[in-house]
Amino acid sequence: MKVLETDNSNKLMLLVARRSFVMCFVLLALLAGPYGHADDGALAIISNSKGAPEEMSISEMKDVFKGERQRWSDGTKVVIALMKTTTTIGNSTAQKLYKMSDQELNKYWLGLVFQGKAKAPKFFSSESELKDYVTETPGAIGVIGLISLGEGKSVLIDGNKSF
Amino acid sequence: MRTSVQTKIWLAIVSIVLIFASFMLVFFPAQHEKSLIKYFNQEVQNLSNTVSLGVKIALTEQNFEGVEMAMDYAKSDSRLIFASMIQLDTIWEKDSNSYKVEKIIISTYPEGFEASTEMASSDSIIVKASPFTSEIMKGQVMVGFTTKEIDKTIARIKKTSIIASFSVFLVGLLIGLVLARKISRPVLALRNAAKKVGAGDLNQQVSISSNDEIGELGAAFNIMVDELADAEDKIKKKSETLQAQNEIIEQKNHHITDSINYAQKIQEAILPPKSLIDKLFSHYFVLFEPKEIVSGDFYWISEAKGSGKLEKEEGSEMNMNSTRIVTVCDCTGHGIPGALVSMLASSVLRETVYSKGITEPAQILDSVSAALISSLNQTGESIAKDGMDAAICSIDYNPSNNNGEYKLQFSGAHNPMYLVRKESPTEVEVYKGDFRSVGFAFGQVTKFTNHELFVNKGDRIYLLSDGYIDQFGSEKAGGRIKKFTAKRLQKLLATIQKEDMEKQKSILHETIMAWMDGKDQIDDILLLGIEI
Repeated sequence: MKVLETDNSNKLMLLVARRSFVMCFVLLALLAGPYGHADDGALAIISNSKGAPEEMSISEMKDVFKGERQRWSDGTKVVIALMKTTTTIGNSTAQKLYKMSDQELNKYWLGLVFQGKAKAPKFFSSESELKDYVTETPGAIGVIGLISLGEGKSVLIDGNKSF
Repeated sequence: MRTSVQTKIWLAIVSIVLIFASFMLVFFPAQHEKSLIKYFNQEVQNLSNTVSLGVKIALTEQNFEGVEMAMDYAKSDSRLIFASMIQLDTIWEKDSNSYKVEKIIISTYPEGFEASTEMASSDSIIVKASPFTSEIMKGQVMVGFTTKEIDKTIARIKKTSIIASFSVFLVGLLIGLVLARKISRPVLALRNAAKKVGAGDLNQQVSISSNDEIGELGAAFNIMVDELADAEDKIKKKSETLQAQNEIIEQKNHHITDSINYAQKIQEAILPPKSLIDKLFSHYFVLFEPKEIVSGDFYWISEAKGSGKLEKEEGSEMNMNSTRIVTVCDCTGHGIPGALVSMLASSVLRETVYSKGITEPAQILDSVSAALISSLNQTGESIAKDGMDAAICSIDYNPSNNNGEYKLQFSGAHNPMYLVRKESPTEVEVYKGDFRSVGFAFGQVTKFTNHELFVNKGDRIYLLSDGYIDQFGSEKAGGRIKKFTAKRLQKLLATIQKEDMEKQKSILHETIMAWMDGKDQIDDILLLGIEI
């Protein structure tokens, strides 16, 4: 940054104002940095009170969400709830959890459903709908943004609320 | 080949049963199989379409419920062999002007099934494909279903058809048995009864056990037999009556025949005896063929002395220089009427010649004619038109009277005289009779014409009635049966002059018999030939 010096007071005032603006901008940027990162990438797992455990390892979580585990230990059927890949959370879920693009995720589930290996996830357009569904459906487990995590049951992944 | 009613009924029922069985065993299963395959194809196609739609929704809306439901439905069908999801990738060539579509199977149920993009329907599998298109990918769903269930269904249908056909066959047999008994039995009973009636047993009756057409036939048969029996009784009675009448007629006929035979003897008595003719003529013949036992034709031969008086035929001395009279007469009709007239005419002729002493032929005919008219009362209102035709000639055998020749006089009533001279044997001179009869005549009665001529020894004369020349033969002219005719006789006489008189008679007889050729003789035949 280059500071311009002037001879008159107006120019001084303009300089002070400009410095103040830049300072504020830098301060806001510093404050907003950690929170903006958490909204874009941090995902949390929620589940119905029945079925899913309180905590899972990341590999267990992947097994569940890839349809490889059909039932919980209490016998309840595993029901997966995901955000549509057209949403930020859905897109993020595909990349982080499945390591797949949107299209690959769809093809993946289509293949499983086609072969009858797994029951396809229920996809939602809004997190609130997803949360309501999980709350109401026994054995349901879903992925939402960490920021949207509410009072409902969440599942810790390797001891963390998000992954 | 004779086929009984019973056999025909059986054949009809068996034919119907066979047609039905063929329909049930062949046509019906074939049609059903076609329908099953058609509907099965449609069903598989619909399922394929449903799965394809589910895939499209899943890919575009991330809603997998449709495809899940469709696949669950497909998997629950035991006929499903496989379901594959195929991705279609369009690969453009380097020149960007052409492309090819590559098919890649991305998922198949059941896992491990080796599906191919080239799979097609066959006898054992029905394969259907349905395309889908989304932003993510383009592809098609291909499903394969086994046809085993169809085969099983068809087998079940065939089994059912066989059972149904067999049942129909059994029912058919039962119906056939009942019908055959119901129809053929009364028909056979009718046949047997009819045979017996045909053999003359009119006491036959058939029992009527139904009120249908066969029952009506039986009733009609019974009525017919009753009526036949009545008719036979009537015929028997009439036959007996006729027999009795026949016997009477036979008796009467016998009497009549006896009378006629006796009449024949009487009639023969009026003919000159052969001994007399032999004395008068050395060479002659008499061809006399009456149509019936007695005849209307007769001939009369006698001798007249120079004084004009005649000697009686039998037992008289013959004067070889005397005048001899030869007559051939043809009375009206033939048989009994002709014979009666001939008896009268003969009597009148004798009376004329013997009693009246008339020797000139024309005068004789005039006199006889007058006598007949008188005898038959042909002058009154009730005129009997009987009479006779005649040819009469007298020959003066005294050569000194005529310079060595013999004088011959002839007169005829319709009938002619033929003369064949010895010096010209192929030429027949014809002397026609007058155009009137002896006895009754229409109009003014004229006198008969008397012809005079001279003949020499060896010349031959022929007198005849019309029986010979009017005889019908087998030859036809213009569709009509021909008569023998006078011309034909004249030609015949001209050709047989080399023969003696006896031979001529034989030829003339054979000729007329051949001419008749088995046909009936229509009139008495009388032909008399004399050699001077």
